[in-house]
Amino acid sequence: MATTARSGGNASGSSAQRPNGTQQNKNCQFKLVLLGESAVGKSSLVLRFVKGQFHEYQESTIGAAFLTQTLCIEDTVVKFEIWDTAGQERYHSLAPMYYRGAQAAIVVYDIQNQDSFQRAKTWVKELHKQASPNIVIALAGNKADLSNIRVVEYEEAKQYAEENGLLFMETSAKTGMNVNDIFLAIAKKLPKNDGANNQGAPAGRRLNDNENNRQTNNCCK
Amino acid sequence: MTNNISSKTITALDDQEALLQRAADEREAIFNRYSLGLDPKNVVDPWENPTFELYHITDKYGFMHDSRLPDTRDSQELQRTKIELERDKKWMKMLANWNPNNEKVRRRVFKGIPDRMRWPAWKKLLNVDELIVANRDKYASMLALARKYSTEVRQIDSDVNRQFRDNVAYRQRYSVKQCSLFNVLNAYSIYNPELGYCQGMACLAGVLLLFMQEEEAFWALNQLIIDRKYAMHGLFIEGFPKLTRFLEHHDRIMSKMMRKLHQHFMKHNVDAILYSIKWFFVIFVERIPYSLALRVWDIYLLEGDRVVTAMAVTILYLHKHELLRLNDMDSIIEYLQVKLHKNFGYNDDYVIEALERMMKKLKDLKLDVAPPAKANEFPVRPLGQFIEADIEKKIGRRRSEYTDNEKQVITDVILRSEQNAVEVQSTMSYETSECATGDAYSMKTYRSITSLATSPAVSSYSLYSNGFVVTTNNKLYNNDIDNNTTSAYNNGHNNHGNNYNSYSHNYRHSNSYSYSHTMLPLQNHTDAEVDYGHVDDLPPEFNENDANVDDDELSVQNTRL
Repeated sequence: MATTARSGGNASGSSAQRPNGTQQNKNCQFKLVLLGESAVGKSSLVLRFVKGQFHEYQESTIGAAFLTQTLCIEDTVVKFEIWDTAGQERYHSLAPMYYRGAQAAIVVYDIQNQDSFQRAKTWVKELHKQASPNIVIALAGNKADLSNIRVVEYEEAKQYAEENGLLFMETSAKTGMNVNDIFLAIAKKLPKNDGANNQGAPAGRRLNDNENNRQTNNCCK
Repeated sequence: MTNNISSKTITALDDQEALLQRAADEREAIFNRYSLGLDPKNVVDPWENPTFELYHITDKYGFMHDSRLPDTRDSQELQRTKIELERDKKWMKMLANWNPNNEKVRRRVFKGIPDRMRWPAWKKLLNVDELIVANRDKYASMLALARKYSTEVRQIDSDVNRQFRDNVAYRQRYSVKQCSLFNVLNAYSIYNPELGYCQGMACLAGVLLLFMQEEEAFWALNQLIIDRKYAMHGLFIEGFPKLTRFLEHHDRIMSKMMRKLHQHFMKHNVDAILYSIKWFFVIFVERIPYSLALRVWDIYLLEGDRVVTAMAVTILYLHKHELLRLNDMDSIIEYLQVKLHKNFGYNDDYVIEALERMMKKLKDLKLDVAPPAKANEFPVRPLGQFIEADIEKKIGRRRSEYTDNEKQVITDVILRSEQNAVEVQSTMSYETSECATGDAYSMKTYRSITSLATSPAVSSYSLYSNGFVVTTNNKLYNNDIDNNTTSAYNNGHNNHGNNYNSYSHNYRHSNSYSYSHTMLPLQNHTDAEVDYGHVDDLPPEFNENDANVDDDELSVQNTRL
């Protein structure tokens, strides 16, 4: 990790001069946090995304866990720094530490559990109030492999997501359904947001980049 | 398959016809089985298939591994077994005349309580039998109340379902131990309603239940939570006041004894809370190998929470050089959370010796005990008196606002990470540290914590993580900071540029590590990519402060460590 691109602030002359599409292999890094009720499958989603694995008995997360995964979108390498938080209400007070400065969040609920959906809404509210204004939030209805015993209807969640400007997918960490997709959708949405707004969340951090024009507002398009 | 030779046929040896018939039947039966092949009608005794793989992959503590464990025991293992047998005898005598203040007890606990003696020894150390006698029927009544009134049942259920599922005792859903774990935690949430249930407690009770029975584990858990020696109540209650206190103490020790590593962590945003929460909450279980964790538990039960403080520092001390080579948060966290659990790299005895020395060292430096607890770390109401939960709790409704306690912990945690950042920054810019901690900065800090804000300009933390830019090539520092610390910071760097380079050379030289002593192979790593262009290589005079113990001094004194 070498350089950091800040949004806003001291834009040097070079910052806006990057010609679109001519740079190869741009790297950027985003902080992403997973929030949601206990046992909805936050850690399992991360495990599926990062290691392609699924553990039937994923141990409960105490405090938080940290993992990274890299995605490629066209000519851009996107590295996610993923903070997987503990779901029990008591650990709620540690959450701000993890969503602070996060550019993205996945709020997870369990489609078999109405309470967890309500809880997800509370998280979204809190993020809107407390997190970076331009944080990209995705809502994940997990355990979609159990849709025959679902309680939360797809349409209901979809409508809520649309009203609140969230990305939305039903996912299954067990089968892998939509897991990569939801991260990919976030990655696609992120850079545009950063470019559009200098006052918002810090742009993704650029990695190991020895060029001089580090101080770009928008590390990738 | 059975042989149908009856006594009658044996006596009638002359009855050749019968014998021939028997042989023919047997041949036919065997051929038939092979003709059937995998046909389900072909009934197979369990022993005929290798379905007992479990025994080959399960260790002596009941934990299952990915592959078979070695069949034969090496000479070291045999030697250890022999020693343990001797120790068993000594422990039996000692337990019969128990006196925990006896120096002999202390010495033997540090050597490790023999596996077979752990049950009675832990019970003695935690005063379990006396508690059961003094609280006759209490556990049963708490459990009965829990059945009617527990508000934690859903969370406990979901945690029991995933606690130690790689151990044969907890492998099967609703196994005896799973049921005990469920009961103990629910009963305890009634017994101590201010605490209720907090994730992490399942792990503690889970370990206790591997050595004890249900009611014993309940009282043992209560000792860990209530007894002042352990006082885990303050760790698990809302707001985690003891965690904050211990983290601060940990940082204090790190900044005095292992400044290089401390700065390295801060540079990569590795706050102690990220790696140490499980160390403190579940006493290192699932962060170091189980056999070593048990050794630490032995000592913890004897000496109390100062052991946790010392062990945290010992882990970092033993792995300091490895950690200094890791140059991003990702690999540092992975190393501390995953690698050390799989393979600690040192044998258990060696680590415990290091721990003992560390405890002594901390005592000499008057850093062994964290600052005293405030009243909020202890229960206010008497325990075991049933109080019915309010309606919100009963229906399991979540609060949407933070309580004052929670606001406090948020403030504390964020403030701490900012203080650490300030400390690193001020060490980096030696001559400008006043500037870095000056009024303008403090005000930003204050604003960010009171507003809980993450909006970009307000958060001084993001100011830091962004402004604090160090390139990995030897051009030293480039920075993007656009506030008034920039120029001063650069001045500091320019003034000391020469020193920096010469020190950088020394550092390389002095770090040709030799791990010839009892270190076991941990991993193969490539030394080629070690990068010395970092703040850790600041000239010695940048780091030195007479009041503090320097890294190098410590390493000289602890070459044995």
